[in-house]
Amino acid sequence: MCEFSQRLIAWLDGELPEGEAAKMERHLGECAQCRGQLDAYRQASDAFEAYSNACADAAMSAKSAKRGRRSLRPAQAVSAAAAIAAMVATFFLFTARVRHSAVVGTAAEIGSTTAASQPVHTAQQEPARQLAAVAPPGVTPQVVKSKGAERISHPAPDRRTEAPRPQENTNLLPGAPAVEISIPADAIFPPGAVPAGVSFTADVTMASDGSTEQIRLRPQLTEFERKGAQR
Amino acid sequence: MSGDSVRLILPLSRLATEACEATALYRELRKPLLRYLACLGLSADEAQDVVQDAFLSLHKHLAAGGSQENIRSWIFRVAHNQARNRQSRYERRFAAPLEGRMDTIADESTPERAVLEREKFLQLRKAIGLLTEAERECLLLRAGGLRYREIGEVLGVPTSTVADTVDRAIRKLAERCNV
Repeated sequence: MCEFSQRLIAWLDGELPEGEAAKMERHLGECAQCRGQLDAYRQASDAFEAYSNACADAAMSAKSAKRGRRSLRPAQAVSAAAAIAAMVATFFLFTARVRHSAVVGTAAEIGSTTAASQPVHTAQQEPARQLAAVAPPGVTPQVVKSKGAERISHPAPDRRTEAPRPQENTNLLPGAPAVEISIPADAIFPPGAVPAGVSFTADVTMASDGSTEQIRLRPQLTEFERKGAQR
Repeated sequence: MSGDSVRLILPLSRLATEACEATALYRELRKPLLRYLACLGLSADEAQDVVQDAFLSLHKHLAAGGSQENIRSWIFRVAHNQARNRQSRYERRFAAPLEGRMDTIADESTPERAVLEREKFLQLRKAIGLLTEAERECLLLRAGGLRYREIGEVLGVPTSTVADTVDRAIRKLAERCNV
């Protein structure tokens, strides 16, 4: 039997080191026996994958037939929401850490924008830093002046994510502008990842240097809110 | 609230791109994980639960400053171990769950299913049933897109062992299926 035949499957899986892979390719050009074997292995491999996919599909469709399409049990919705919230919180924590170096430059930039649009306000620097920490590096947010703590929402089909939304327990300066950003869930999550009726509120705690100390995402079941259980 | 409010309109594309990187893992790995777990014999509900738990564990792992390398094998390993823990019916083998549904699968004439013609399907099922547990798991993880190194990390065996196991398993299938 050909010595190369021992490594056909590893080659098929792209697991051979470069040099050996090149040798194998040269050899395959010359050895019909190995080509035949390779073909058989490839077919066996494909057949296994088709089988396992069919198996998985059968198992999965057994469930949707039983339960109907989009009927998440509340407990499941909560756990799904929590998992997604956790993922996103992780993301923000990471990016927040990375961003520290970029905060100062961006803060100045935003500070001047804010000052221009709101010349009356005195405590500009602090909120500016807060904005900077929230904004991705290199992004210059458009700041629009408005009266009252108005909530802005981008219309999102079915669901929406809100971040960050200052609450009483955040350490915003008293009287400082409230910063509210709404992000459509569809812009962030993979389609279908956020169950209908679930949204998030993010509480952001800022450190005095403008960095993000803590971000807490609270999943909310908006469908159940009318019972008055929230806040 | 008394003070002025600042309405902030962020260009979302940038933010979304970055957020997508965080959820890209979820998007990339959710389906392979579900498939893997279903093939291990977990019910759809169990598989969903295990996947959610695995991503929660991943969050804790990352938030605690855990290594960001080898995330794929990390999460597969967590899911694999959780599946084993919660599965008293683990002995119900990969080949078994299809027993009752085989007819529907073989009869469906969608292009994908046509691949599995009944005769070959029976042969293949028998051949898969004759594989060892380790061989099946290696092939399932391989079908999930994992490299040999990653498979080794999931199952806790050296990469060379994975290479040998995959090699042996594919050879067995190829011989027994007469393909």
